[in-house]
Amino acid sequence: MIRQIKILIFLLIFTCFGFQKLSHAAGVTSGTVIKNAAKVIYSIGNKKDQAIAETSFVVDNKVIVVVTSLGNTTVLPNDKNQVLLFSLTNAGNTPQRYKLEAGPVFSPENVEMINIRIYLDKDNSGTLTAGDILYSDPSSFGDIKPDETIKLLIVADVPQDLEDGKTSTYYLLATTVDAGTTNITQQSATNTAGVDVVFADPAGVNDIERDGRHSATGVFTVGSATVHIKKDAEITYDPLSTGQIKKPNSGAILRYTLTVTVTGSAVAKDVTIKDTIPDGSEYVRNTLTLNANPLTDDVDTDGGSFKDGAIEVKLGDLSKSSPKQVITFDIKLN
Amino acid sequence: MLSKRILSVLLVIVFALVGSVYAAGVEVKSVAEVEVKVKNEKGEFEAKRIEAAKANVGPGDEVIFSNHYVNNGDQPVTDVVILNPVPMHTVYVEKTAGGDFTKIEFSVDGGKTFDAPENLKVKDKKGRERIAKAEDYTHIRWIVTKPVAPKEGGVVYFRAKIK
Repeated sequence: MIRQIKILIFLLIFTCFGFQKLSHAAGVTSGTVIKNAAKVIYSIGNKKDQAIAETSFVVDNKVIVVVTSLGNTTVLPNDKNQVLLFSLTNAGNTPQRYKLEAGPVFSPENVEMINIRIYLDKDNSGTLTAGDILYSDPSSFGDIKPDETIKLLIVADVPQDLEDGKTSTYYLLATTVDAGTTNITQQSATNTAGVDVVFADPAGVNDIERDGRHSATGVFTVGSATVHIKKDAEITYDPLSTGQIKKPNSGAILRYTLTVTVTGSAVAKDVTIKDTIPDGSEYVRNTLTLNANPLTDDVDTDGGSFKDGAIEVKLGDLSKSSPKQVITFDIKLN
Repeated sequence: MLSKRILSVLLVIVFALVGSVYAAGVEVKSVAEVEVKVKNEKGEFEAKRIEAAKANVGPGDEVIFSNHYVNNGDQPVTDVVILNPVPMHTVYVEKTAGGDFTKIEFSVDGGKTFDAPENLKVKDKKGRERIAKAEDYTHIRWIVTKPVAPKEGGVVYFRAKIK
């Protein structure tokens, strides 16, 4: 419950940042001279005359960086190259670079991922692809122009032994760096007539306001799914029995019932059940059913088939909320 | 040769001095300031104006522009009009233009025509006419409504936000 509240708070913070970002369009580039010119026209007697005055000042470098989480990710134990997607916007008025750091948010419930890396999502695909650029230092992605947004990925591998439902929260922290360099941008100590550097960034999850930095968090949730299969057999015909009691004599027919359920928080993708007909028995043609609907033995669109001595039923994606899937088929004992 | 050059320089200086001393008319000075909040001795925040050139000014900040005029002549001046284009890269902030004994008008056509805000109209992208907004204003004009006596003057002002 506490964790849910925390996540909700994070989401609220992200939402606020989202709006803040919109209100901070980059605006006039630093170094621009703003000039005011006034003209006074007047008369002395019948004679007209005029006077003019000018004043000017230089627009300072207003440093605003905004990092936003673009979603959380469900992972499976042992998965490689899982990503958390973020955006970074230079909402200031000067080209800048950024020093990037990613790390776990420390909390007792938080589990850690391994092999943490940061990539520029060059193709904006939201996933790690061949063209994406690995971050090594602030020069890795070059200068980011005012109003430009880049997509960033925290890429991680998932350890093997993680329980279903565990969460792993990671922050992405961007620190403003002077364009064309790897030097962290410093705020001007005094107000000069030239271009001063003024930090005007909002507070992030892992930083304070007006510090030239901004951060956000994303959450990896371990979502494993376990497919459970229960197999029951019932003798439906015994050639040697005349009464109620049926035995597995030669020529008897067995009905197998496979009941498939899924537990865990994740979706089990493309579940396919395959059952090989045991030696000493044979499949009774056209007895395959799924949830009481007959399936043909041919490999076709109904997902069920009998081939190479085994029945196969494609169940598709299943989750814990899917209804139980019941497969039946008959075999004849030789 | 050298003395000739010195003489010409001296002449220029003398003319410059004469131009200043005998300026028989209005002088105007334009000032750009920003308002910052500073703590006073009682620990309360109060607004203080500092010169924009010596302040931190960036996009979204509001700048106070004021034009101080004074009649340096020995006769009253009449029909005083102060014209001020809204500076480039800035947007006029609604209802911030002021000045004693002035009638204030605005232009939305680059200073060709002026009128009161309620009479100013612009066309939107679809060609429909609408009342102009502060961001449509290109110029401000103050018409001083009384003669300005010698050694007297006034100040007219407005605020603009940096884009």
